[in-house]
Amino acid sequence: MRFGMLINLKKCIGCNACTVACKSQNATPAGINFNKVKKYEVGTYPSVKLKHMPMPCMHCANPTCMAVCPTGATQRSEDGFVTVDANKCIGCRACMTGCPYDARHFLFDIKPYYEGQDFTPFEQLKQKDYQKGTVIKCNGCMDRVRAGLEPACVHTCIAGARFFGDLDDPNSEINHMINSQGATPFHPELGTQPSVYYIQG
Amino acid sequence: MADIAKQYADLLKDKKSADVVLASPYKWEKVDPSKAGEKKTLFGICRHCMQGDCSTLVHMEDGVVVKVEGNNIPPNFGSLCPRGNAAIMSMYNPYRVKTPLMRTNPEKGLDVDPMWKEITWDEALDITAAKLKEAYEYDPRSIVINEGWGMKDTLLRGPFQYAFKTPNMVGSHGSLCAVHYGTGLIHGQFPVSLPDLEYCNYHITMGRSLGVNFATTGGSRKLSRALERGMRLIVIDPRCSHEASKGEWVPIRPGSDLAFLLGMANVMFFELGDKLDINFLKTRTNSCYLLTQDGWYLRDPETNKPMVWDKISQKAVPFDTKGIEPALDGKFKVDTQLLATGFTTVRAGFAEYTPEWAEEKCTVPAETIRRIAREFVEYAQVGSTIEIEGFTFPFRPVCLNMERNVMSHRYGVYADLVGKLINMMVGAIEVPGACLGSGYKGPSVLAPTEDGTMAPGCESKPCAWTFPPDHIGLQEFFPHAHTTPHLVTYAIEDPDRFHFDYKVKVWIGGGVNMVRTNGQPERFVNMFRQIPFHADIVCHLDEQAALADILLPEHSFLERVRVMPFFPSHQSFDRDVMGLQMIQLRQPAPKLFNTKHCDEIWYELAKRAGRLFGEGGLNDGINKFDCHLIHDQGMSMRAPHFLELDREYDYYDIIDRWLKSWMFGDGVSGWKELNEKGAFINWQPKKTFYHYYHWPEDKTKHEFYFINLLKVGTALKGHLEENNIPFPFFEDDATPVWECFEPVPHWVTSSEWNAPEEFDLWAFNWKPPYVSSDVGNVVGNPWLAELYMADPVEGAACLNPVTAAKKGLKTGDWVRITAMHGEIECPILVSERFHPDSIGISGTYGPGNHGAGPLMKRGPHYNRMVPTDPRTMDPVSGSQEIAPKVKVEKIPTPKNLEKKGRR
Amino acid sequence: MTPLSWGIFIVAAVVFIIGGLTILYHLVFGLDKTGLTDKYPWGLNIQGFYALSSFGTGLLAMMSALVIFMGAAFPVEIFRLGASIALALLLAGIFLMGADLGKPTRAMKIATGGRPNSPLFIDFVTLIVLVILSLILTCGLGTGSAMGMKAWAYITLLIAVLCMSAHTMLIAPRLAAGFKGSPFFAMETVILALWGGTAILAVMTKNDAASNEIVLPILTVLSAIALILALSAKIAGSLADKKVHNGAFVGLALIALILMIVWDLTAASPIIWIVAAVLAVIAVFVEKCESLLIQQMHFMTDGPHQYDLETKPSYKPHATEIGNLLCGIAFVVVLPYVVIIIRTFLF
Repeated sequence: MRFGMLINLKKCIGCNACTVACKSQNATPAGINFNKVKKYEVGTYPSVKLKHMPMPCMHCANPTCMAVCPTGATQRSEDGFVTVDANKCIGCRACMTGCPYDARHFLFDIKPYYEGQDFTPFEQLKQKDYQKGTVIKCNGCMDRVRAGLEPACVHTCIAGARFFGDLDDPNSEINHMINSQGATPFHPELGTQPSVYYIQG
Repeated sequence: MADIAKQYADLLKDKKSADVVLASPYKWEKVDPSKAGEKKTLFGICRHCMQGDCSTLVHMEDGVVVKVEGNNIPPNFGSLCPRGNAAIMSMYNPYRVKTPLMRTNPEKGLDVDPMWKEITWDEALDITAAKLKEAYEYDPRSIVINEGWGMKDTLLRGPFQYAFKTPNMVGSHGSLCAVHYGTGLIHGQFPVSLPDLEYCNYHITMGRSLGVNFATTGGSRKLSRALERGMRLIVIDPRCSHEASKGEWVPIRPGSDLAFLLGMANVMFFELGDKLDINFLKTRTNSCYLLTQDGWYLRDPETNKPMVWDKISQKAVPFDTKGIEPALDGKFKVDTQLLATGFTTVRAGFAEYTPEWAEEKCTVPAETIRRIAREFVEYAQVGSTIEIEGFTFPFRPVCLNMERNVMSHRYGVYADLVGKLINMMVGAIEVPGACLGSGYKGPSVLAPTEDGTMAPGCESKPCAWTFPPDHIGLQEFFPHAHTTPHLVTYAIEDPDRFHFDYKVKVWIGGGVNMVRTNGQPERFVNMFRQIPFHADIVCHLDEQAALADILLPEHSFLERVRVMPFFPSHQSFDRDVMGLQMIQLRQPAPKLFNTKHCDEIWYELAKRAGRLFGEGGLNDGINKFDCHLIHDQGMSMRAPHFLELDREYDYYDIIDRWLKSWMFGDGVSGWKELNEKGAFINWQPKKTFYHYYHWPEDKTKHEFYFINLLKVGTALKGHLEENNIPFPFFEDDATPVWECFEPVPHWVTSSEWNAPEEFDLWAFNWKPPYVSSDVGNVVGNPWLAELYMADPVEGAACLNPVTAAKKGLKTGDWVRITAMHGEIECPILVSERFHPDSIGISGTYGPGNHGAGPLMKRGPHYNRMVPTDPRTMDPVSGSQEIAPKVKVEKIPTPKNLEKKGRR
Repeated sequence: MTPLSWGIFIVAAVVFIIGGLTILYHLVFGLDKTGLTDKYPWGLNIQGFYALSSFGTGLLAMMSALVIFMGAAFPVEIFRLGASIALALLLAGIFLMGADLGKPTRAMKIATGGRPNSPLFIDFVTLIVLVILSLILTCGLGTGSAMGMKAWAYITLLIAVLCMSAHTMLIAPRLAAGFKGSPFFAMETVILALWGGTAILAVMTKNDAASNEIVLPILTVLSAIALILALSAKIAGSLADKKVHNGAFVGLALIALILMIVWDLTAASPIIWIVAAVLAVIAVFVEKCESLLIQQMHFMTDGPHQYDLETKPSYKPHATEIGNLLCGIAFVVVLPYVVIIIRTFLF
């Protein structure tokens, strides 16, 4: 099994539902969102369009971040999830300089969501495993996937633009879509072998 | 350098290294240890936007709500928008009102400290109930109930209004979105008419969102599928929005949409006349009806029925005579007069609106107007049919729809009606692929009257005239108006001007904030200063709450139990909702603070004010309550479940009875069964979803010649003359009113067309996907704030690069934008996605008030520039002008940016 | 110690203490007050670390080379002073690195992480070894024995150059993927360390004619190589249509080279080469910013079209980072003086 995601940019509407679903699932500290939706304009008036590109962590098969990690905190699992062990991370941030996809975030500080206020019960309960001074990132909703569910970002997408499946299975729906629609990962020339594919649009 | 020194000093003063007393944050109670390890999932309904019908699952761990996600049932089938996902932060919001409060500072203002005093629920309810009782005994009309999108989870507010016998229910939300007349008249429904995205192949959308622009779950799902199916999408908008980027963008000057519509209709009448759906016009509209010289139906002296010209017998006969061939077009001699048909009369009205005329007004090239009209007619496949579940429908897979950014001008209703004409000309009304009214589906909707045409429904039915007037919203003078909070400010300011014989004594609001969501906020602040007693049912301390005398805190929506019939109301239709009959359930999360459910509050107030029991009381109101949106298809109480009038009932008992009364239920499943299943779901046959099914062929007719406007306008004129009063606000000359009540739509200038020359740009506004319709404190929600603060379009005024260059402005420059009614300040963003004559400001930010969270105080408050002056509004629908003309001047970047903007 | 020396020592000590507060702040409270962001995860701390440790390794490498050149004739006292300066440079670099770590108390995990080919591991190990080696020479151990010094020199030279290479290996995976960097980056890192070290060595050997006569021409040669490598990087960049941001460095290197050539040809006032040496140190410091911090290492990921609706990030060093750097620089003055004071008053 190798975790893979497919994002159809023809359908993505840039609503950020995936961003907030991820935030809710992972209780990421204030100011940090694992899933980003990049927005840009193409063209000149009146032939212009607004375009979007959601970017989770690419869970590369050949991750630059893992190569430079000095403590082995960054690991890649058998089923393709690249994770950071918060207990081993020393916060050197070499991995962040090595990632071409803006996928990693450093916990400079853990502040309450409501600026100037205290941590809400949600934060008190769900942020226990975050350690200030370590690097955090999308973990592919590993626990959900292993329990047979979809990642939170895929489940919530309101435009039906995100798909999830097993890249190792040649008969899987995701492989079928990648092949039939010519989906490609982002910056494939970097050699990182991302697991997230895009249908251009 | 000064920064560096300051940063170093802060370091030393930090509370970690020194004891510094800061303003105290709210101390949350620790997670209840007895709940450790407990996992629960609740059925939920989201309420973070106007739609408020997405089915959710609310997960709790250790007594804390930890995740809200879409439930894989209708209408959203597991998807959920960003606001739905962020619901948790609106519950755990330290700026909520946590206990009843009473104002001790008599001075009222947005920045004034009310000096709240905490009081008990008994005190709060007793004080408010006493005021209500006193006002009821003085005159029931002196009680105003004020509602908004924040209070759609109530079942008892309607019965409460019944129990206090007041006609005065003021909605905060509608006057900037009064888009209901055309749907009421042509479809008999409310609120809007929508495209059938299951089959539509060519959709023109103007001044609205199909769901994608607001990131509405249902609308986005449906549009996504329709686009994948190959539907052509034409978006006519001053900005290239998210939706326009998925289809074809036709840039248009803000405030000029009526011109485009008139031009397109002109092309269809005069250049494509032989391609129109002649059969539809003849058999399903009043186009053949002969009109007298004054514009009324020519009526048969014996039967009083409207008459048509029979081409066979060459004379005028009642419309329902068998075996005739009615003439659609032409002028015919009846007695001594030459009378025209409805169709001829309407068409003649459009002769001057050539595409070249339209181009000059709206900047859409004449070529484009012609092309769109031609494509619209071609895609309509006039004459084709489709079979659905064994029934043969006409198949017209095109639709033109518009909403608030088109209709919120002085010509709003005319624009709406021209849109209906365009759809009707190709028969694209109430058939597959075409334009359908939102709401319940059944035979009563299009049922014909004796005139053969369907009865005007909903807001196309005028408010009855009384004099002296009953309604504080001046609905007697504006009988089709949707909601009129802006007019209420004038009524309270100077009641004698309108001949009121009572004064408002008690104002009780719930889930409402007119100060933020209407225009000219100072007028509302002043109005509240003049109201003797103002209580609000509130969740968080917003602008209107800051002006209240008593605050009655209610639960956040996750904590509110809710049982709700599904009602397909916005953006579009497709298989997700067609034929869906559903009761949705929200199981409440345990409450955090000393709050109550809004229905508990209504019930208690009625009880303590002596309006619960007996005939005409709250119990009686519950028995009689009929939701104005879905009538008997909702939860209307039926035998044997009626309440006894003189007993108190538990809220869940009332809900149980309503559920058992539901006409689509099995009659026995109630509250217990609903809690087990999570929802009651049935599907009616898809074919019954189209009103054509219930009244096919010539069994009913729609107005093509809008005689209803003539009727109501004439009646209104008559009432004024009877009582010898001028039209309020138009005491000198009421022509601007009457010119909007004519049966054939025509060009009318909005209030902004003749603005002084220095006002050279058209400002316009839209709802962004992050905060959409500002329900449930989305602007103050930190998860959503992270999104909108990272988007440079939010909080800025967007300008086309050519326009920006002409004015010497670049991205990041701060400007003052001045309309004739107000001004705002914000930075500029230069973007190719905007019409050169426009300046676009997103969203619903500001103004903020004392006691609100810091996020509520940021950003430009667009509505400051929106007028409340009735001379600028559409006199039929009451809609306020949403695209004021403005002038722009550069100002120095403000020093304390955290207070002004977000950059 | 002259009154002037005392004056310099006291000023440096005060700056060290004031700056030291920010280092302590980071060590105790972490990085919550900083100019760094997710878009600029490395800033002035790392620039300072790279610069100071490259001077330290360069200085040690050059001293080892000279020991090998000059044999027993090397100037012991000057080199002992040099070793204390190198020790200070390395320790200052380590302070900055430590303050910059999110979890400095876990620093030992670099050694126990089981990833021996991670550049940070190699960096960590070589720095510790070099600290020990420079401490040995500072204390004068083994300076009596010619063999002992040769052994010291060979080991130090190898470890120092390995340390320089580790710095470039840190971004090797990205460079291997063809990802923003010039083909000359690795060479430059090594050469610049040697250049900076030589500049410091030149100033130190000012009063010893024998060693100074060897060091100054080496400084000239290294200036030439540094300049040409930087220019080559710019040319290589233009061939690949990529912008290489080393303009400030090229300018400083050019002036330094010109000054060294003038000195070499005219041997006029020593001020000429002293200024060149100072410029060399500044140039290396600036280059660390240009190559590591600004465009080469940190940039917004290019989308199919540049994400022009995002606000462009910028980096402004916070007081803590400036404090850290000043502490490090001050330490480079304080430690050698402390060694001198200890040697003067206790021995």
